[in-house]
Amino acid sequence: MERIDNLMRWAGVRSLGAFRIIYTIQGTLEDVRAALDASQTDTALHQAREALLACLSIRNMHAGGALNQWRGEFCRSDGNMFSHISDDELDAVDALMATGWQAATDADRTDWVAQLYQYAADTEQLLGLEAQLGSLRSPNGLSAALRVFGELDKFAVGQGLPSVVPAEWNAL
Amino acid sequence: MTRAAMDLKPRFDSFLAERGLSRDKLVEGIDRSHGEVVAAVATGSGAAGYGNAGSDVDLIVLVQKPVQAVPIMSFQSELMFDVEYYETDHVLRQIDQLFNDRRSPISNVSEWSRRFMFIKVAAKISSGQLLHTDERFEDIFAKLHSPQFRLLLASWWRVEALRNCFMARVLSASAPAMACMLYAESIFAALAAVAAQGGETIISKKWLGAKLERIGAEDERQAYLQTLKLSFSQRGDRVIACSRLAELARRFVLDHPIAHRATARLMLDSNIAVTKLKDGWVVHSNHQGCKLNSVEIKSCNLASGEPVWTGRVEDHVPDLPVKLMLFGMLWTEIRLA
Repeated sequence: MERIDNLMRWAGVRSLGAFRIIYTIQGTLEDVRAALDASQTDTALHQAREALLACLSIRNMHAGGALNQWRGEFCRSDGNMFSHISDDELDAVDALMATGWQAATDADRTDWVAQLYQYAADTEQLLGLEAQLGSLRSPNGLSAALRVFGELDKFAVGQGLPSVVPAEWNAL
Repeated sequence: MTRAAMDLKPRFDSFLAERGLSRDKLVEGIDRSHGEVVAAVATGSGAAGYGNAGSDVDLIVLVQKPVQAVPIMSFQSELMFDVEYYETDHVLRQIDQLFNDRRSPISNVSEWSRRFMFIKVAAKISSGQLLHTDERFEDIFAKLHSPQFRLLLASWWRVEALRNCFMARVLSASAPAMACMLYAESIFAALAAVAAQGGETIISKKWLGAKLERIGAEDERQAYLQTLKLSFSQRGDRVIACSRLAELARRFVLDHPIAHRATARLMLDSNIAVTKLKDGWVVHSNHQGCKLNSVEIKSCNLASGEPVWTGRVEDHVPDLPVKLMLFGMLWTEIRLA
């Protein structure tokens, strides 16, 4: 049995991180693959960057950084998402991005996309969830993912943590 | 209708046909349980002509009844539909407001979220294709396709460019990785303004390079690629990357007439409270906080080189704004003259 010293933080990282994986990272990685298939290199690189930033934000929370809602690609005013990220880890992400720029052949690109997915899977593993998260963007995973949203959000809000749901969903 | 918009119609029809769909089928498939459909607009990359095989089918549907603004996803076979339902009167009112109070500054992140929500809806409609409408919506649809809306959207992006650039400058010495990212966001926003003015109003930044290419803005597209490349850098290169990004930001963000007439003001965000203690202050939200010896609100003129801090100062702490910004407790308000 593992002792959890700060239950609120532990739960907050899991809730906010899980939502970020389901709502942002999964779709963003699919965008990378689809954009590469369509020779839309700019889009693929942009989305790879987005996916890596979202992964880093989860890793930062996991390492002790501030718990915050992910406002996605449009608002980065939620504090320093690199505060608890080591230089080695940033260098690794940089190397992963650099690989994308250099990937010349189809095989290189496939390998690069696999590395991005692996990085996201490793990030998900840090959350210590019982099972792999379902995919919001597949018929099978949609209802499971929505159930996870509901449970996570209820918990986060109940604990006084930021809602896992994007603020814009409640803005109207 | 512009030439580009006319070209997009057959392209969207092909996009639908490849998925076994048509405009009529999309309209027939709309869930009527949310109320009478006033208008339906195909949005997203498919309708804007950027889609690929992985693109979803995105729709905005305006209905009579109040509805919650949660995107509703559904599947037909393996094809994903992403449908957003909105109450018509509410959307019409909000879009009207966007045109009327576009110059009033945003003073906290909640207000930003609310305003951005409508900018996003308006931009989606503007870059979308009308599938069905009644006369109530026709005027608004035309308004969202006007040069006036492009200017409004470009102005939104310019403000975002200034906000991110300002934060990057404040953080560049103490948090270069964060500053690099903020400079990149600033440049992306400035380039999105160029694209919006050129008629490319789809809002997602993932299409920015393609938008710039479509309007023939080759210098800007090169800047976009350079920014993407520089925004992650090895530790030895991070400071150099930061200064290169700052240079690009100077060219595309600060050397613009709007920047010379703008001021930035740092303020505690609205969800942040300050509690006075015997030996200082605690600045906190409902889930995090920090103890400080002083609290100060500062402002600076963006046109000047280094930020010159003014405002209430108690027991001066030189890097207090940096600390609070790194905690995500400050909001940067941009005021346009």
